[in-house]
Amino acid sequence: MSCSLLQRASILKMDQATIAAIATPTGSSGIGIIKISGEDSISIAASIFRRSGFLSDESGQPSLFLTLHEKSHQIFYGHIVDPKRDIVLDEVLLSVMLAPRSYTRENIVEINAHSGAVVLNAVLELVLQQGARLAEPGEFTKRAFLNGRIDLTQAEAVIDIINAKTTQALEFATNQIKGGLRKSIEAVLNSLNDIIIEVDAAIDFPDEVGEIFDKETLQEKLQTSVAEPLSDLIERYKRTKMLKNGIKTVIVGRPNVGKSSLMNCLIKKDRVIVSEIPGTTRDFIEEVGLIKNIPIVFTDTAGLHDTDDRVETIGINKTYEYIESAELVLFVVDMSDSLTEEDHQIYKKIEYKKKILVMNKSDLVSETFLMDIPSQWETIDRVKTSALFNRGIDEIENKILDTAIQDPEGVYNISSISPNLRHKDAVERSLNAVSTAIAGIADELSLALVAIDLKEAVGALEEVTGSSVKGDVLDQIFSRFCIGK
Amino acid sequence: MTSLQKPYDIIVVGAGHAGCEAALAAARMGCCVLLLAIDLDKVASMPCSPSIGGMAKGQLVKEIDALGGEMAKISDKTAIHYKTLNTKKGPAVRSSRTQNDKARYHMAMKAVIERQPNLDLKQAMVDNLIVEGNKIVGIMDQTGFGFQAKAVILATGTFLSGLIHIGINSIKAGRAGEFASYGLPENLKALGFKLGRMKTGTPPRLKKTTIDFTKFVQQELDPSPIPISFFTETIPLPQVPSYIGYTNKISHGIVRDNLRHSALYGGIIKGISARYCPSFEDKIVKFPNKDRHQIILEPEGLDTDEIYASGLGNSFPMEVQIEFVRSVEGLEDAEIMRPAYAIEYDYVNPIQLKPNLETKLISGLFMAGQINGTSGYEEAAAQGIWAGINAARKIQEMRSFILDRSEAYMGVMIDDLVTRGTREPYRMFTSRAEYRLMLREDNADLRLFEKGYELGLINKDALTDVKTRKRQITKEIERIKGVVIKPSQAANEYLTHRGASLINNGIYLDQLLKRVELDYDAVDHLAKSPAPISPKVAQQVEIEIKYEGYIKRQLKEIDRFKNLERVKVSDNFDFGKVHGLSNELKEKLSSVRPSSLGQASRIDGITPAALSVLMIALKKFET
Repeated sequence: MSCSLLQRASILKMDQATIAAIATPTGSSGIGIIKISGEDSISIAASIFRRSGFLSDESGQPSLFLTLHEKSHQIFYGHIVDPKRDIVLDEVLLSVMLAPRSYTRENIVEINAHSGAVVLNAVLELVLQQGARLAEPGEFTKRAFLNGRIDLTQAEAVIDIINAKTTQALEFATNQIKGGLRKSIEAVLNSLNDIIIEVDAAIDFPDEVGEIFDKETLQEKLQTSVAEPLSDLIERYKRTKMLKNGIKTVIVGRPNVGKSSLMNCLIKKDRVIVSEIPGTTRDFIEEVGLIKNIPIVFTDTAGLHDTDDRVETIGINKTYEYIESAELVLFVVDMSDSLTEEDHQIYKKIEYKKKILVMNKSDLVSETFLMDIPSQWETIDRVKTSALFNRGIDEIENKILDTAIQDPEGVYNISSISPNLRHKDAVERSLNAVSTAIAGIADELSLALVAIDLKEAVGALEEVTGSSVKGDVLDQIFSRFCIGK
Repeated sequence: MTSLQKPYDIIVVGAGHAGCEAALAAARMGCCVLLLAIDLDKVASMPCSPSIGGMAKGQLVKEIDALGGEMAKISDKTAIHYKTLNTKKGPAVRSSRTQNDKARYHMAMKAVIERQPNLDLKQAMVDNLIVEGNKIVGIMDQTGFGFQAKAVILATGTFLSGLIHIGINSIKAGRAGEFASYGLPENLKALGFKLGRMKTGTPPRLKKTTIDFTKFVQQELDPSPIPISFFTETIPLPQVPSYIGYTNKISHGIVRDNLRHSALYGGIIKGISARYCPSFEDKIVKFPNKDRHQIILEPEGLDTDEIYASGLGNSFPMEVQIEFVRSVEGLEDAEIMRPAYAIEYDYVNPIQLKPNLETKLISGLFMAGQINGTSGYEEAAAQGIWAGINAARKIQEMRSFILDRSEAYMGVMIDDLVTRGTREPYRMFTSRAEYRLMLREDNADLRLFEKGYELGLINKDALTDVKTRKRQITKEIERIKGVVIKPSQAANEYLTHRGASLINNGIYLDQLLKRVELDYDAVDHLAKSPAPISPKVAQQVEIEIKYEGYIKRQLKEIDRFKNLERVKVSDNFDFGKVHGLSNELKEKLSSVRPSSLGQASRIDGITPAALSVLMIALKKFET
């Protein structure tokens, strides 16, 4: 158990430099935070900060340093000033959190700047000039972890917060750091330990406990209080993964049916070159669009058709690979034209995928026009669109959510507990071990072996919480069973 | 110090189960050893239950045996009842237990000690340790007579400030009827050791002729008992049964009504008692809903009428004990020959010891047995042989002899003791061992004979025997894995006979052997080995094949475990200077001084984060 933690930890290096970074996502928001952590963070801040209402004399700096030192966890209002050029960069709020009462357990200064990315970067640069080093991604969390401030589950949740692309994913991450995931895993761990206690008691105290041991009850308990909650966690992972990484959606169709225009509508940007020369899209363009805050990764592909052009052939083969890995295929056809052999060829490639039939160029036909499609296509979800006039896009979006995630409302309700890949891996290993144990009990396998499976299940879960909640099994045995000479 | 007395290499203080093994091991390793007992008539006495072995303890006894210790051999010489526990829960957790003739056990052990070259047995009560600088140089007895030695092993059992309680009466004694040692604990405190207080107890002994055995269920005798020791050929003594009965609501009422008169609940006892060994008062208070508790009546020997009434331990005054005992069906007329009593005694928290059981404070001073806060003859004996070996190794300027948690129950116990210390009497359980599938009774010789031989405690013949067997085991497993059993009529007839499902296609014999219904007998019937296979070899082959998957998994875990054990902490590493550790952990680590990162990981309160910080600090320190 702890071995794997150590292997993980061995990657982590400890250096004591003061580090700084912009702690908020760049771009959209109007406010940004620069975080500085380490021994020198306060002196660095003091050298570039002017408190409002205080004189900006040179000799005042040490006293500002002392003030910041004395008033941990308070907010100061003032300006960031480039000391060399004496230029005010921004109006800011500054707060100091002295070690160890901070996120990293080091001295932390946070500068809340009110301006956009350009100014934020200028302030960061100033901080770096004063002696800080740019933090590596996740380094604050790494320090928090190495300094014992947070356990592994929390550390990774923080990284997830940093990476969260959507508000929904942010909520997940926030809940996880509160220990939502840990709580549910700890609940399973408690049940498992409970069962191990009974097994060990039966083994170590054959006279006193062995005789009252009941295998059926044990199996039942393992199933309901361990195996089922673990399966549930794995299910949650699968759904959450979609929310975090986006639903992989590939747009396919023969050349010039309007795939690129459709993609532009879906991502609401003009990024893909739209032209009327078939075969324009040879490179693959991935763009993320949000549908109800769920990221959808759209891939526009080369038009699929027979060609001798070598470059284009490569592109077409690549498209088939994309189709393989996609969660959803948007199959685009031209409503104004009858279906061709190429359309049928493409259909064969996507027959077994989740798909939506997009009948594009509806502006070129009458409202009542019915496209002639093969009977086997009848069951596919269909949408009429006109990418040119931005029609039918809402309908596609709803269908995408409905088709890719069977229960889009359900996804919003996975409020707190969502494992990440590492967690899922551990939970899966744990579930496997529990399943082996359940089967072992049924096969009358000796209890000592069943205990090995159960302990393996515990070990895997403890990798998620990052700490051993083993407690003293013996403690529990003695409080539950009357044992003695 | 007088010159009348020759100097010794090692003095062992106390001749109980720990002291005897310690003295014998050290003497056999070539040291000149003095073994001191307060009363020579009590050498290797069994002050509590008349039995050796039991769950996990049986494994310890086999390990002691495999390192050339004496306990298993004496046990076989004096056993009057054999039992194998957990026969249905798998070979890993099978344990042997014997009931022994106490007087014969004492005499047999004393005889071995008296005949052992290099070993003197003498009667004396030690009052003071003689220390120069931080080095032990000898001891002084209560008369002021001194002995010189390069190392001293304290194996004083419950004798340090021993205080017996029967009701509100307290008697200073190491055991009933024996002097306690009040000088030595004072001396230990003065030397800087931290002492704690523990409590244990023993049930009453009843007169056989006053018991109505028809009211009890007789425990059947094992028709073909297997000796405990790897070296025993025959079991000399006749076998006698034991008896099981139960207490009842009336007995429980008597206990409840008299709680305030017991030493335990009358507020007299301050020491911490073991939860697995509760006094009857405890059982009533902690498990009020149970309306009966099991008792076992075991004879204390062939030539005595004393019966050990297991399950009736208490600290009541005599009048209550008599009423309580006689409330049990079949004991209505029972006469108590020796009353039950509770005893409190001082112990030295073993966190003050190094993994070789030498004290951190004084070089050359070792401790073993109940003084370290353990309970049980077997736990004591295991520490005894460990301390004896290591004291001898120290004098001979050799590396400490340490078995780790993957090698032996002994290793688990010592590691637990020196890493985590103990507040209640520590007893061995199989659940304390992470790798218990590998630490079986049946392979203790395969695990440890070679180590015993290297120490000079196991002879060449035994070593050769084990090496030959290991070869045979490997060879036979290889053979079985290559044999295909065809679905012949004979094969299927055999399978039907064993209640196993039939085969339609050829199947490898090892796959067949993995079936729950089958054992090595199947190999003999379906594809007998051309070379003779002894039962011992057959047993190992069967276990290794049947549990192959689980064994492989445990081996993998052991590998990972060893990786951490291999990250050693040098003696001059300063835990107080590790950046990023809380002060509490710094203190804890400084006091335990783990010798490896693995040991550090087992200290209470160590978080993974702290461990990675420590690992990083260790790496920095090494470079």
